[in-house]
Amino acid sequence: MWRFIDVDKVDGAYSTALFQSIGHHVGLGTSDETILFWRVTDPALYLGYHQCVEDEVHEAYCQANNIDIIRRILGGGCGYCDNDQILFAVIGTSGGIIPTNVQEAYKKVLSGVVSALSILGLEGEFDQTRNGVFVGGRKISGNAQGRFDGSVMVNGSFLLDFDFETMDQVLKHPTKNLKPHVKTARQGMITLSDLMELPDLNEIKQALRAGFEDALRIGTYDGQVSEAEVNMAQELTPLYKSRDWTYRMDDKRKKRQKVK
Amino acid sequence: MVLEDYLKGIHKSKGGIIRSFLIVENGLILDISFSGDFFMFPEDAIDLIIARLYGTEATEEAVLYAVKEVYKSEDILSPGTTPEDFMTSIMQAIGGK
Repeated sequence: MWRFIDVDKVDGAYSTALFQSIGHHVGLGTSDETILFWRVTDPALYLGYHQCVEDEVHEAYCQANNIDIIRRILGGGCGYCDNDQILFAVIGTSGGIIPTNVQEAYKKVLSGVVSALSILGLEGEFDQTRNGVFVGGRKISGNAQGRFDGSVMVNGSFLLDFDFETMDQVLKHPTKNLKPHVKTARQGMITLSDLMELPDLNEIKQALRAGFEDALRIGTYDGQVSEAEVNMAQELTPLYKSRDWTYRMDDKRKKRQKVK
Repeated sequence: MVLEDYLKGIHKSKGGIIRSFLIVENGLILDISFSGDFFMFPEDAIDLIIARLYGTEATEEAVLYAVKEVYKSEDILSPGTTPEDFMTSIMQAIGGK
């Protein structure tokens, strides 16, 4: 049985620390494989491991509007998140149910999002070139993957509603990773509220949980974050809040560009 | 050496964008960094690729050989992004492609 945890609203920096901590403990074998759901308390921008802030983000807008920029331990592109998204991490052990092949891992885990849409009466499809789930050619779930400390992790978002206007202000390239013909994020993305009258949040979460169970052919039990996981997450959170971590790629570049 | 001296390349691989910033002198890569939205497992293996490229001849063959060497020794996985993509980004910076 896998563990299911819904921490609901948490701080963006803490969320990155938390999924890293859970990944570490799952990899160690001291925690069960886990499906984690959360939402961000306040809007936040998750930056990919290798990205430079200055290439991707309108920093002044973020600062003026208290939008945290958080570099995650996973690669890929950046994503603007607000509390109208369910964010998830599907965390297994290396060599376990989640396939070793990276594309196969996306395919298997994200078929859970497709299943969830089906439970809600909607038809979605996994787009393997963009590692996302689309409905009618528009993205409803963007995703990233990580492998560390013996764990394999597929993370993603599931859009219930979305503030496209703010996303356009925050990101320098808001249409990146959408379909090629798309000119605005609004054209290329879709939310659950565009497709149906939004059900109760718990009903949506239940559909997503059942979708992952179906995709991975697993059962889940209601679990909690362990004390060891909380402790590690709390220790990591200051790192994720630190300027040095957030700007590490920018700093590396600037350091090189100084007069030698 | 000042900011303007850095050569900048950008290449979109299937797995994401690779930006490269480098200094070439006397045909050798003296300094280099990468950024972008590509995936690499382990993620910090990029630092080993960078370290391996210091002092490498700035040719397609030498760069590709160096990147492939690190991929092999570190068992790197980078879905949709290959050693050839890193080489292409670098060669774009150099202006050779």
